[in-house]
Amino acid sequence: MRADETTATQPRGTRDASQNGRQNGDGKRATRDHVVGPVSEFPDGSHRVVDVGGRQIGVFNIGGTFHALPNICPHQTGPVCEAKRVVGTLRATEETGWDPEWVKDGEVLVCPWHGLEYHIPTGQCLAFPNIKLRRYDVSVEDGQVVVHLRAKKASK
Amino acid sequence: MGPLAVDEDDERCLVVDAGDEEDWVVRFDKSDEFPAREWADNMVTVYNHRLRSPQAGSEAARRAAPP
Repeated sequence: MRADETTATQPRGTRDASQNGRQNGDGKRATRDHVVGPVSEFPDGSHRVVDVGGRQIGVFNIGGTFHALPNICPHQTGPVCEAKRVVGTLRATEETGWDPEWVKDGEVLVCPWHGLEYHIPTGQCLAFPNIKLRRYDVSVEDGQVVVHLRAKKASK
Repeated sequence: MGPLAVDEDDERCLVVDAGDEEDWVVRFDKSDEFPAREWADNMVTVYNHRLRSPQAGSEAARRAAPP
């Protein structure tokens, strides 16, 4: 399978993050680590949708930095991370004399359903500043790409 | 992912896992110019309806073009 294909793939393994002491960013609940594949399967500029803990997450390698976003568009819940390519966007400002300039090259995701753009490193929707996708914690450990999800809430 | 729900406070509406309100996927910040609650409700309604549809689990349905 090509690295830029976006068919969801299963994670390669899961472990409780409590084994290595990792806590979620808010410190309230431990995370679970999901190995989604070797770094070699995520070359620079590529992305892939993986199935992690029962949800689809887009994993992106931008210049060697990994990002992970939910594969759901806030607009009509389309598979936003299944965009064929990661691109940039045009922006016209007073500083450019209102001429369009190409910005955020290689950092913009365009939803295949209706074309809403999102800045991958921040999750920010470019058309609607009030909308932001969650960014999941992702890292590279021992040559493996690992997505860290908050452990499920315990049943009452 | 299972059904979604909306978690709202004075500043924002979060779309969250209905079974775990701390597990959010999208944030809609409130402002005078932006109807955050409407956006969040719409997202939840559309997603939850798709989950309940007989074809929701099929690959074809998941990848289908929007109506």
